[in-house]
Amino acid sequence: MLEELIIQALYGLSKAALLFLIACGLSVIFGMLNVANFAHGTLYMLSGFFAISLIRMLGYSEVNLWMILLALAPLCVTFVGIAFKYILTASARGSPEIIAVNSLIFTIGLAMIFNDVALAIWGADVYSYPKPSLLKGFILIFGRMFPNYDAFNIIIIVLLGSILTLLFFKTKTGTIVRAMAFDERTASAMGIDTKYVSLIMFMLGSFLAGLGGAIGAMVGEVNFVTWEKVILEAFIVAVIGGLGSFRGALIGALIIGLTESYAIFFFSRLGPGVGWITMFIVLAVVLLIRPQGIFGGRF
Amino acid sequence: MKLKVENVNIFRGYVHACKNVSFECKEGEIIGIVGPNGAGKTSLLQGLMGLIPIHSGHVYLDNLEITNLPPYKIARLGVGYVPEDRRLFGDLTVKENILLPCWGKKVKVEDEMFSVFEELFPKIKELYDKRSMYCSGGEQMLTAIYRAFSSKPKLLLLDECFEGLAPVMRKNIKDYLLKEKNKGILAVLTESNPNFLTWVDKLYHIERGEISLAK
Repeated sequence: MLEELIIQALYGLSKAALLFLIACGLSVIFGMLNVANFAHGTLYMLSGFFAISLIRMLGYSEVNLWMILLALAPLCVTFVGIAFKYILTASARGSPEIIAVNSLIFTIGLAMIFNDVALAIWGADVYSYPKPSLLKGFILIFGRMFPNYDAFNIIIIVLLGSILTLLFFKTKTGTIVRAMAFDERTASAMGIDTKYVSLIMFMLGSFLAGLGGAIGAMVGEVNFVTWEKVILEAFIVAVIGGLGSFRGALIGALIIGLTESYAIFFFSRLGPGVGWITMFIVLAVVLLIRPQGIFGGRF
Repeated sequence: MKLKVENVNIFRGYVHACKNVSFECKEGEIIGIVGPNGAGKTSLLQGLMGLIPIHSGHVYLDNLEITNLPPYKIARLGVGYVPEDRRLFGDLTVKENILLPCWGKKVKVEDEMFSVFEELFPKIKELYDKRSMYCSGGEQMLTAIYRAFSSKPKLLLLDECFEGLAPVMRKNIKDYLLKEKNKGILAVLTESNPNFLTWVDKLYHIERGEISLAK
């Protein structure tokens, strides 16, 4: 039984990796610009589509698959993210309350537009693309087969989580980012070029979402409505962790990844929706106990 | 360096917060602006710092017009700022708050700066690693003041920085400013309590947005 629980925890960590990649950018962007970017899920979806198109253009070699997965698809999405940033900044005018409402409606509209753009370009078909050889197959853990793909995701979340934690909490650049997330205006009065820093963070958040999308497209299905499910999951994770918090996105992703994995393991007979039910229960419990989220108000 | 403010008008919504405000601050001069709450002191300093728009008028720093420049550009010209409500970055430690302007303005951090702060307020050594959100009001105000001083600015804009400080600390800050004044630094201080600013070179009074020379 213990072995089974450990295996399920590993599946949970694999799920948490994808959730973290999309929720991190969403949460940090909210902290910086005070904008709830509903179009962030679009980046995840577009990365999957870009990956598929790039494979068709460049061919199905091992090198191409890795390049597309780790660099090309996320980079393409980063450029889209830059465009989003300028559009969002232009629309963010007025009092904080007006910005909050307007940005929500505006980004939902942006997501719908890209929904239709994706439909026009790639059609209504469902896509996925093959994994590189190293990510096919299984490793044995306690005599059980554990997919290489999920092990890769765990490596991603451990590596990225560690690198980003070091970046944000142990470097000057990270301190500047944290100051900006706390109070952008005062950070500007301290000599920080907040527009430049927020652009860099937007690019980072977009790249991470793109990386998540490229990884997810290998096993999941990519179609023009992928963004709807992804953005909802990302928001739940970000709210649980505390909107605006990098640590919150990491902890939120781990909580949801693990609880969902165990819920599916123990309660699968309740049907395919047990994962979603679990997510909403966790969200409700966290909001009742700590409405600002676990790391609310802290980066 | 000198600061010249010429017929500056600032609006906060529909409220005319600063009306044709003009004054000059020359090198080595410390100016005080006193007035009751709501007189326009904070609006004036925020306008000079670029944090709120100046509707009309001009601000010159050493003959360079800085009216409505982004705050970070004004800061990088050598301006240190203490906001009215401190506005520390609560998630950062006291030391990180103090060092942030040096990093933002790309100014070299000088270790002797910390010796100066520790001489003024020995207790600050114990606070360096404490998150500023957990500091007391007085400790936060001192951190905000040191944050403004840390990048060795040529012009200081201090908005009600003496409020909440013990008399001995007010004296220490005043002595530090007077010492820096001899090196050519300029400072514009605002206060509600005129007793805090009896020692300045020029004292202005502001009420309902209108400024006049008091001393």
